[in-house]
Amino acid sequence: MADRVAFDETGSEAVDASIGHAGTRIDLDELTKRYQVGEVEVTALENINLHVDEAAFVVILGPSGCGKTTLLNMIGALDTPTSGSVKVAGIDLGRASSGERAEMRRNTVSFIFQTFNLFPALTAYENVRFGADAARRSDADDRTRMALDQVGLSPRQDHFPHQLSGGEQQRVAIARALASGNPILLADEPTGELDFRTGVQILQVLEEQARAGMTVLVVTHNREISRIADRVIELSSGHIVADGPPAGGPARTSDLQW
Amino acid sequence: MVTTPARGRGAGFWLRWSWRDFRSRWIAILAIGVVLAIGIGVYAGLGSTATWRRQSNDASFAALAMHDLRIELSPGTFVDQGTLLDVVSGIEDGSSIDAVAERLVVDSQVDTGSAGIESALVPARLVGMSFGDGRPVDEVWIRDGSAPSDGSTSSEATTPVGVLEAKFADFRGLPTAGTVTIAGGREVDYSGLGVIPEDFFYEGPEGTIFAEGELAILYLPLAPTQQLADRPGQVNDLVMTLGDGADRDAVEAQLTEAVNRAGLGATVSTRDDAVAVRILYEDIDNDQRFWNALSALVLAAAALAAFNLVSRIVEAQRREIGIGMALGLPRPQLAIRPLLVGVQVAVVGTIAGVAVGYIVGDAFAGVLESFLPLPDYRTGFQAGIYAQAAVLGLAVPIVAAAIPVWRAVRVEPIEAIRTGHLTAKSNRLTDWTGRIPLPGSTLTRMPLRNVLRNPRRTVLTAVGVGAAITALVAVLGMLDSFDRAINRGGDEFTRGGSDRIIVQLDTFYPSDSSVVAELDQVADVGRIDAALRLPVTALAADGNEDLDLLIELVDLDTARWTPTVIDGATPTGADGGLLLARKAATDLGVGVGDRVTLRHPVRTGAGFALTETEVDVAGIHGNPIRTFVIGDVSLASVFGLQGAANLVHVYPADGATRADAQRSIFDLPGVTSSQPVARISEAIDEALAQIVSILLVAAAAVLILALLIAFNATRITVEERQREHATMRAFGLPIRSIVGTVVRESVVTGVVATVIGLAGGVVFIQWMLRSLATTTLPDVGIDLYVAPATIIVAAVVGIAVVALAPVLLARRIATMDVPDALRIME
Repeated sequence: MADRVAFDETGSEAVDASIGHAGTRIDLDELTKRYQVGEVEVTALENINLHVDEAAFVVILGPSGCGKTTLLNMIGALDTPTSGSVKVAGIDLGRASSGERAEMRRNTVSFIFQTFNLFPALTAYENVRFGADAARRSDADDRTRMALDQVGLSPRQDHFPHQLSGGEQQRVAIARALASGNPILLADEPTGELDFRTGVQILQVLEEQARAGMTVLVVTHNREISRIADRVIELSSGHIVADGPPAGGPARTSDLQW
Repeated sequence: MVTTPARGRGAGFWLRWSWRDFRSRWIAILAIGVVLAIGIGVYAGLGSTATWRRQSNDASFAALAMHDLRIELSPGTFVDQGTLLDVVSGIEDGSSIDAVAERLVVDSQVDTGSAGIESALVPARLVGMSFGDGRPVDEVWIRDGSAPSDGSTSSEATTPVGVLEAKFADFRGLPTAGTVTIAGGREVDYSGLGVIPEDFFYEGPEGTIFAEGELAILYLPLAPTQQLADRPGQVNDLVMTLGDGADRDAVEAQLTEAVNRAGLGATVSTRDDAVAVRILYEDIDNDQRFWNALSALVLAAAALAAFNLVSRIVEAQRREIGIGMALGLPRPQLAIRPLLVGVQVAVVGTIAGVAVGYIVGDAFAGVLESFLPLPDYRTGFQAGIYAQAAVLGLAVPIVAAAIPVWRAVRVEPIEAIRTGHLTAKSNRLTDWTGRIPLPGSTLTRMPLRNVLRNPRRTVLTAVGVGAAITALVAVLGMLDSFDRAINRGGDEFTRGGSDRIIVQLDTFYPSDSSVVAELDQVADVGRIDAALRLPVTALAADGNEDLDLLIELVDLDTARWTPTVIDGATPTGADGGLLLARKAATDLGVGVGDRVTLRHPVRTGAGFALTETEVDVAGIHGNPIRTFVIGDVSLASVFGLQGAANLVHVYPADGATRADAQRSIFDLPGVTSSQPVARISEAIDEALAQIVSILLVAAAAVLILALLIAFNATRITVEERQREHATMRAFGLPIRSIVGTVVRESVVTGVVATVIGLAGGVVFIQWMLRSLATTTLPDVGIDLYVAPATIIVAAVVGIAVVALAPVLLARRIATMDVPDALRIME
């Protein structure tokens, strides 16, 4: 919590503006997304209605191909809906220009990917710093060092991705997202490439961010992971089939098994 | 029994797969194919010209019975007709002579105004020779019009009729037949345009080359020439051909001995000493070396581009190769598909290269025929050279492809099929350079980090572009070096006044004679300085080659024109020594303070004899032309010519132009020609301008080449960085910022390429100049010089054009499917 407060205190005006308002609320109304694959039209999402409040820790659960990554991409302004609306921080992303969507990604949402997507030519420090630079934070160096500290990688900051383990690389990716100072964290299968032990460590970091006031959305096919969330949205074939807290209430990461 | 999917498949299977691969990356393959095509096209097209030129030269020299040996009397000396024939017939191997002819070759001046064209006074040479009498030797090729008729060959013909040298007529725009006025005001008709073999290529006044418009050569029957030159019954030149099997060297030695025994100041030269033979043959090899080196550079660039592309494809197919390994496919089969990419590039490059070669060859044949008109041009299709080019075109990309394929199939299957972060490899340079702190934001650091991360690929791309820039710098730098040498020569000629006119007298006159005095009395002439110019041979020590030089003796104390002394001191007095050109000193192996032995004519009564004298090298003058040796007029006593002059430096009077002065002295007795010194460098500049226009086309082609290589390399980079660019976009970076990082990365590569290109270009020029200095242009001291403009052009091509390539690919970055790219498995 203290770290998060420190971020806000040292953040730029843009950070303050996005965090201070109803900026982290996510509203999806009758959202439908269809793709054309060859001559076949594929419906990835259909009539999705979803509302996520600020500082929520949400897991979107479902099997491969159910549309959960598409949903995350919609919220992250990487994709646009075929119909319906996606509103993040009050901005209708379906009607926003590509520049406005880019600004949304720059100042409101941050991504963590299954395959990390670190820049191989940059050191851990520089990869994290990229997040702050992309968001045009004037205190990029401070944010970078703090984010590295949060994920416990300060001693490894001068290492390149290929010199880090998978878990360390994913922690760098999380630090990159944190350094941006953006209030929404979107994680797409963040433990997919990792072993159980490392995966749990990553989930702990995510959980800490949610507890610190960040909105965290985690996409996974692993039902066990959904146990640590405040809310679990289950998708199947493009439809929400369940939405609510995990059965038995949120578990601690130390209780997870897979 | 375990079977594998591809085992036992026929060629059709691989071809279908290869075709699909081609369709997915046809732009890259075509781009590299075009680069390759330019390389093999230049090789094939210009390689053919070497054979054409050699065959055409052989046929043309043979058709006109080019002489095997020639005797030239010292300037200003003449003998009665028949004297030289007697000398020749008296030698031991006289029977080996096939044909022989005496000639009278005298300098003069021509006024083209009488031909109905714009009036121009230019130095001229009258060649009195036989037209169709006896066995042929050094015949005239009548390109246009006709040879003089029988009636015009006698001395009684009222107006002499001859043939005007064709290149001069072309340059001056003169008609096929007409009339010109020569020094002394005599008119000469010409019935046609043509050339004798020794003038297929000739030096103009003051040793200039490619200055066809500055020397008018008239081929006339002997008797009228004797009349025009006021040398009735006299000759000064003899040419001969030898029969099959004759020992030319032996005959040459016998002739030299016979000429000396007869007390004639004369030189005996062979056909190979003739400027035309030397330039036309040796230039072929030099040109070919130049073109071969250029095409090698382009081929190298193409090979590197192919290597880059195939490496990337192999990298992309790494997992598929690994799966193939896991399924037990033998390595040769695994190599087929990526190698077929090399084959695709090879096929495209070879087919296009043959077409490019044909176009280049055809264009160059036209240029050749206009530059060097020969009677018998042979420009047939050179199947052998095209076959060589085709083999090169096929081999280069396949070999380039084989290296990365070979490396790929040698890894363990488990390594090849790994995905994600486990595929990342260590790189010592990256690890080391990672410790170097870089300033600025990560976007500023990223380009340099990317370059350092993959130094091999960066170097390959930079060397590819650098090869193209090397070609560009080589072409432009050669011009710079020539231009600088010409300017240095021009500056040297125009010291003391750019309006100086060099007036050649028909023989030696006392400096206080009426011939010299009359020049000073002409109203348009303001000042004259009498001088002496004589041919000498400098004998080299330590096995260096003897040099034929031209010594000019002027009064270095009082003359208005004196040379620049760049080393040593201005000689004074008869023992003061000489000033040599730097090139002559180098070739002779002497320096300031050394002594050089001259073999030179010395006047003995009415004639000349050859003798040898040792003279000090007092200094080095600033003219880059090796031929010129300068001494004080007091050295004339060494030649037995004290107080004599055969050359006068004339300066126009105040208010008179050089043309006024030239015209005023045109009709004076004893004057054979007058040449404004400024016109010499002007004429060379004009000739050079023609060459520059051709080379600028070459420069444009190189620019396209560099862009193609850079575009291809950048395209590969953009494809490779697709995931990184998608990540940047996921973090909201604007397209221009992403393109900016690629541009900056290209700039780094471009800077490296430019440095490589400039260094390579300098090495290339040095090599070419060394080659030229010993063969085609031994008489000119050309120092390596790369002008600032050339460096700027190289930087523009190397940096700006290379940096431009990513901009062309901005759309690809803008339209990428970001979510899709983010999911790509490494």
